[in-house]
Amino acid sequence: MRRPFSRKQRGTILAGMLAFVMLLVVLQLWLLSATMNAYLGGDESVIWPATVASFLCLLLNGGLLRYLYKLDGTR
Amino acid sequence: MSGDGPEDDPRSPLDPLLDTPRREGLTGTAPADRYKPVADPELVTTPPDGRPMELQPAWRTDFPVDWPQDHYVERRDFMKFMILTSLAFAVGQAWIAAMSWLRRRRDRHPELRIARIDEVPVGGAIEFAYPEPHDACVLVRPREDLLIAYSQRCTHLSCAVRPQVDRGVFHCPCHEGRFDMETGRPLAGPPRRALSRIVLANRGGAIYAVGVEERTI
Amino acid sequence: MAKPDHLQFFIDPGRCIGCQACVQACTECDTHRGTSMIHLEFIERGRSVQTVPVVCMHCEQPTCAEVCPADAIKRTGDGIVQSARKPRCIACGNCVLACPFGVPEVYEDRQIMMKCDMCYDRTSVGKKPMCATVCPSQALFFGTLEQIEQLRPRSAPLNRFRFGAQTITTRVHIMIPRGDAGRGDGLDVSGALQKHPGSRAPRTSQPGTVADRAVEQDPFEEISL
Repeated sequence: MRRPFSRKQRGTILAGMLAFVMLLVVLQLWLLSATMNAYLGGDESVIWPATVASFLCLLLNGGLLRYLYKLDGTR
Repeated sequence: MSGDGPEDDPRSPLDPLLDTPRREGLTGTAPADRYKPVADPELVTTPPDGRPMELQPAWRTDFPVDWPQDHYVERRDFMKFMILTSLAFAVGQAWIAAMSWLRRRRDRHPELRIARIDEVPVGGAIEFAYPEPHDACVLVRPREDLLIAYSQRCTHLSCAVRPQVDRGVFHCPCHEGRFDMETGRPLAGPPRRALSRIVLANRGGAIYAVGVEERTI
Repeated sequence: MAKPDHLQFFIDPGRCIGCQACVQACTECDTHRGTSMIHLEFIERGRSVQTVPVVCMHCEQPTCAEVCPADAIKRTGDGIVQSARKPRCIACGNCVLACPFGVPEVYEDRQIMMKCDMCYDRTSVGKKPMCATVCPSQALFFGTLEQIEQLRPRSAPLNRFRFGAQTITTRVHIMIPRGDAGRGDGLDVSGALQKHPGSRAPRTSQPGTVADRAVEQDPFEEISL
């Protein structure tokens, strides 16, 4: 069951989602810089796990984005 | 507002409570929180044509006149932009993975004859290119019994490092980076990774480059 | 903090004596320090001493915000239309042209539109705006609806105005004679401009001629929205 949220509630939900997104984006930034260092240093063992982790973060972000569009729909 | 009862007669005497000590707020001295707080309405603006928001064009929800709604839209757009950044990072990861795959495919370490051992002076250096013609490398001989070769590419921004054999360091002039001569590890400046070492082999008095050893630290 | 809902702004042009006290007091307000946002308009100075104080009417449908290309004019949740937001305002002056009450002004020196914000620093904590505190004849009044009905039994507040096809509802009320209130759908401002009522009308021809009828025609009749 979906309940329409008031703007104040939507603002709070958005703040929570934004915190998650920022966390994931910072994690991805760290993954990217660490992987780049490993790649340039010739260490290829971390590249595929890091890529998978980064895409998992993107997947989570995409889910949050999908929920955001849903949230905007319930006005 | 206006009725027929005597209590609604507009000519009735003034409200006796006006300006009395309990009602200072009405004349401008009491804090507003004495009164019931104003309910924060969802959207206080009525569109100019007066129709409900459901019938309004979509842009009206994205460019609201109400300040609280504008805050919401701003943060929502920021979140969308951050997710776009997330996509960019993921694409960057995929790019690294693709580059690494390509690098492994074309990875070949031919043997290259650099020089005869007695051609390298003690305390001197010889330049060569390995493994590709553009990959500048340098062979140094700091001591009689030590021959060592590194890629000249600084691990910070790929400037060419210069051997300073008397000081025992490689020096990068771009950002004052310094590397230890015997290990190739960074000593000072921005670089964090060691120089790529060229693996050498002694084939009957001649020095051959046979491989590249990259290190993360 | 927000302006308490039960406190309203009432303008009674009939009581204005043109003393300019509101203009001076307005410069003291902290939201627009040193600059007066209130306009004291002279009506037909040649014939009359009538003056009218003009403050922002805080429309339900703020035309200034509707026309802003930079999305800079915003209303707070309590219905107060604020001055343009500094990071966004491009000082294009669209709002100046659009406002039917002629309230916003563009300040070229600081490249921003500033307008009356009902002294938001004061009204948001339940105090009167500067102009209402000093007005000696209480032509500018800030208080409850009950108060104004007690104080002005022969006037009635009005907050609907018609400008051609546009009807605007405002937070600020104008006091008009009680007999005229509730007649029709708001005050037809542009209609009053077109009809040239009574002796003030510039006579171009004898009544009943073709030219006179042309004047009475609605120039926007053929425009459909």
